[in-house]
Amino acid sequence: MEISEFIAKFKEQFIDAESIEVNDSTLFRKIESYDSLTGMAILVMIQDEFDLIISEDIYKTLNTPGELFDYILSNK
Amino acid sequence: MIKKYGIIQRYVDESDAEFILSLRLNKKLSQYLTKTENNLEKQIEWIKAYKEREKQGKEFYFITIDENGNRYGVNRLYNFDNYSFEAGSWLFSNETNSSISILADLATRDFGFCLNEKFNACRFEVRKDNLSVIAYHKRFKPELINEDESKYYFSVSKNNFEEYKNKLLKIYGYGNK
Repeated sequence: MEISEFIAKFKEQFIDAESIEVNDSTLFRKIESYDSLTGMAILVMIQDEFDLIISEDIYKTLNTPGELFDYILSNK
Repeated sequence: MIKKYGIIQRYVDESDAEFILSLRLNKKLSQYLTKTENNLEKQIEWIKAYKEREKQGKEFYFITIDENGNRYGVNRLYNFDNYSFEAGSWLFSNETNSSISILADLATRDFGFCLNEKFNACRFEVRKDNLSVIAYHKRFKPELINEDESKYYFSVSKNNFEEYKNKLLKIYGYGNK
């Protein structure tokens, strides 16, 4: 999967996906609609798409879609 | 007391009245809830009446705590019929780690499904403007069974609940349990 596709799937987990802008360096926790349930949905999406489970402790250290994608590529 | 998925839940009692009232009066937490009067005595009386329903097996109101008795939040099961139960009153303090809130929801609904082997669905209602919680519940693939001006009324099958629950448990390190 290319990062552009990952960002599209990442963005889909937000309740206001159609009205937010997300790129690889977006600090996603600062998006107004982001909450713990969004985070949970992102982790499930990653589990489904990459068969990779990212623990909460690791997830907390990843702040942009780019960092998440890099982690996925390094650990899947 | 239930210990499951790394959390501890016990039945609500009168000592929890102040904590529950604080949650229900919190402006941010309560925006999607039925309004609650700022009256501790009334909250205590409500809990006393609930304890009678609990004794009759008609309702179960859980509070999630830690090993030191610190309180995190609540979940409730009620309105049992022949084949389903309703889950609601899902309310956790802002300081609670998000995983605890979600695991409490899962553990509570697990309890519901175990109450009666005939229970094959969990009903719940969500305010239409509570987009985040609607999105969470939709991931369990519930059926929309009704709606009115302000709320959606859903029912999720036991199978669908289990399927998504197991995905969440893997993330939180509990696998298929």
